[in-house]
Amino acid sequence: MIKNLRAVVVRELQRFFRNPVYLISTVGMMTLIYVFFLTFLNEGTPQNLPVGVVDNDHSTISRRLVREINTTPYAEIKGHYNSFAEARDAMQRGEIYSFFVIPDNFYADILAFQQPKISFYMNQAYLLGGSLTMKELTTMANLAPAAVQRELLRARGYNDNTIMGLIQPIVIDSHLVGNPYMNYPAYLLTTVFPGILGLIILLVTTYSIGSELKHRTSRQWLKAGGKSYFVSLAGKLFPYTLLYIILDLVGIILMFNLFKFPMAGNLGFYMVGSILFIITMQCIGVFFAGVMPVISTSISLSVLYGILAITMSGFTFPLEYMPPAIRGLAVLFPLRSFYLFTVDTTLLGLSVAQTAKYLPMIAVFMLLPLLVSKRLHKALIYQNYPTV
Amino acid sequence: MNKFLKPLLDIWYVVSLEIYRIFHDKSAILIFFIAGILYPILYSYIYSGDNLTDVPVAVVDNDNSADSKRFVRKLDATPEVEVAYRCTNMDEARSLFEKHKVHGVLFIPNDYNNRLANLEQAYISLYCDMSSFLYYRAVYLGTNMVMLNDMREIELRRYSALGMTDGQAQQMVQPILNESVDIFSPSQGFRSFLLPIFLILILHQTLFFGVTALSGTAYEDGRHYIPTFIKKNSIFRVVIGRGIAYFIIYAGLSVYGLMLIPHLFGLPHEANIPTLLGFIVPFVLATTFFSMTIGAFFRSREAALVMFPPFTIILLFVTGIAWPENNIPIFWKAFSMLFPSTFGAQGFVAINTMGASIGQVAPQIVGLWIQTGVYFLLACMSLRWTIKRL
Repeated sequence: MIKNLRAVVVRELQRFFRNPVYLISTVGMMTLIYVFFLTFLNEGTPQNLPVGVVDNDHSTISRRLVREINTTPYAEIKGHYNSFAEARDAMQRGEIYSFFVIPDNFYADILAFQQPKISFYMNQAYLLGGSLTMKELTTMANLAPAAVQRELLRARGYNDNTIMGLIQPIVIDSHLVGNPYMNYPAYLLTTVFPGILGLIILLVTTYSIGSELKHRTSRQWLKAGGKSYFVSLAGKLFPYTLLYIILDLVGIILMFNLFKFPMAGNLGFYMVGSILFIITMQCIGVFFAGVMPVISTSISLSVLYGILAITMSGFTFPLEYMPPAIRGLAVLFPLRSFYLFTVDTTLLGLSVAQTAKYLPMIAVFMLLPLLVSKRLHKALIYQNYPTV
Repeated sequence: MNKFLKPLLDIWYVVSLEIYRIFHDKSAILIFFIAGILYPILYSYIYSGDNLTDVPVAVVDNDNSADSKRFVRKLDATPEVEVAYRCTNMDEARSLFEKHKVHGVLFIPNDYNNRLANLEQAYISLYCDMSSFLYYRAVYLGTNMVMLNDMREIELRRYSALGMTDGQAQQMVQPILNESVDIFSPSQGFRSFLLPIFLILILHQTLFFGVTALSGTAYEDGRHYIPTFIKKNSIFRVVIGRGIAYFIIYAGLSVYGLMLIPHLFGLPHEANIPTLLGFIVPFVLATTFFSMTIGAFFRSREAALVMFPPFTIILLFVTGIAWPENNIPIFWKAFSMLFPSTFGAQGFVAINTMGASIGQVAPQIVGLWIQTGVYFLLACMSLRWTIKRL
């Protein structure tokens, strides 16, 4: 049996290196994904996003407001416009994410207690840029009056302690649990990387099995495995398991070691979960190849399922806010359980005992290949499905 | 035959042959029509929740005063947040947080009311769930709004206590008024933001995978794209003919995906129709010739579909919409210009969501026309290369 297993492994390695598709879609694509995201999101949370101003007042106080916005981390004044229409036009061209209008007589109205109004315009078509710049502008909008209040109160003879209590009676002390510095790449990539690796595993597994059927080499494959379906399948999948584990470990080292993503829990146990996820995805690939032993169909199924898995994990748009008819489908995607496992381990730092519950929910998909083993075995022997 | 008519007739043959091939290829039908039609509906449906409303939070109110109760009541009343649990201690709240029953915890210490009464600053602690950016956004926004609102109320009382009249106090609390206006997408939802980009990517990727599958199949069959009745050097005619065939199909799918879907699913649809059509033409042409250029390098029908699906996520990020454009490193910005989806997403969001005019999206439309020209020439070159290889 060991001899047959080795024969299948050797045969698979030859196939792997003969056809560039394997190397490109595994090592090539995963390297591109790692290099892309870690250089692309290099700066962490976006900085100095362009905003505009329409200053109709041109007073010392309006100019000070503009200067103060430039000192905030997220927003930077990129454009001074003469009118609302001009600023709106710049926004439609995608040059600025938000802008504000300072009315004429602004300074004079403040001094006269006329309560002048600053208007803020944001562009939510760019959710991240719009939200972050808006956060800065509204903070400024609330600080600017505070500065004015302070002056007015000082003029009335109050001391600074009383003034702080008067102008900001409530302070919210925010704790971003597990990700205190709002590390956006950490939030994004801890799910994107496994999601993409999972997609690649599905594609390559269905491709490696499907191409044996397409090119009618499946009997030769079974022969190398001593006519044992189990040995043949194990020998084929095993070299890939090692490759995926290596690719995954590279990702883990990059994320938690080099880029210092938060890891509040047990890193060793997180790796155990990752390896389990990899083998599970291989099993789902075998299942797809067995359900539809026609290469183009099983690959199409893998694309559909693998991309949908990233959405259904709920890390961008939370699952609870999807329609009920869709929400339930999340149980069909082990990435969902792996995402919750990741959150509980990396952000909440829960113990092994508390996070272990997710592992059976991932591992249960390993039973899927059993459902199609008879069907796939027959297909490999009789080659009774169309090649395209 | 007439020297002028022959090329047109040749092109017509290629168009008709390619359309025949598309409708007799299971994968092409699956990718173009099934995926191209179902994906926009599926994703519109998945994201139909749009906004996160009433995100559950737990409150630990150790103060239990009129002031703290008012804060909690106001928080519960915000559209963003719902006070789902009132806990007696932090351990209880933490347990709910760890079980994902709540996505935020608000802790009011027992000196809250006293500090306010003594005209000092009072502190409230907020713990936010960072597992999704949208939870954080909702919980943070909701709490911040209540804080600002409640602060004004407290300030008014204090100024009155200092002996100011109501009018004076009002002016003192708000020497400057402000209003925020969300001008282009009033619903502020996640779907209104993400779906327009998805619609472009769906068209781009289905066209790409369909064309590469057809090109790979042609290679496997040992056929190439020069039908026997056309002279061997008529590469232009073949590329133009195939381009027209895909254009016919994708003009239809674009009208469906970019015009009908936004209307049907209540997405932003501010587009000026002639502007949108003037954008769709170069977008479909650029994507077609781009796909034909790359397609020539595939030797099997499924190779592209195995290698490139993960690349879709890279395309999503380089559009400059999901991630702010001026934070994209220069190398990746240059890289993004290679793909029609980049100008496509930028142009479509501007036209569809912000109602931009053709002049305002001129850079994107010019970009797409340049890509159309360059990829047309490259498609001709790659076809010549394929013919030599066979």
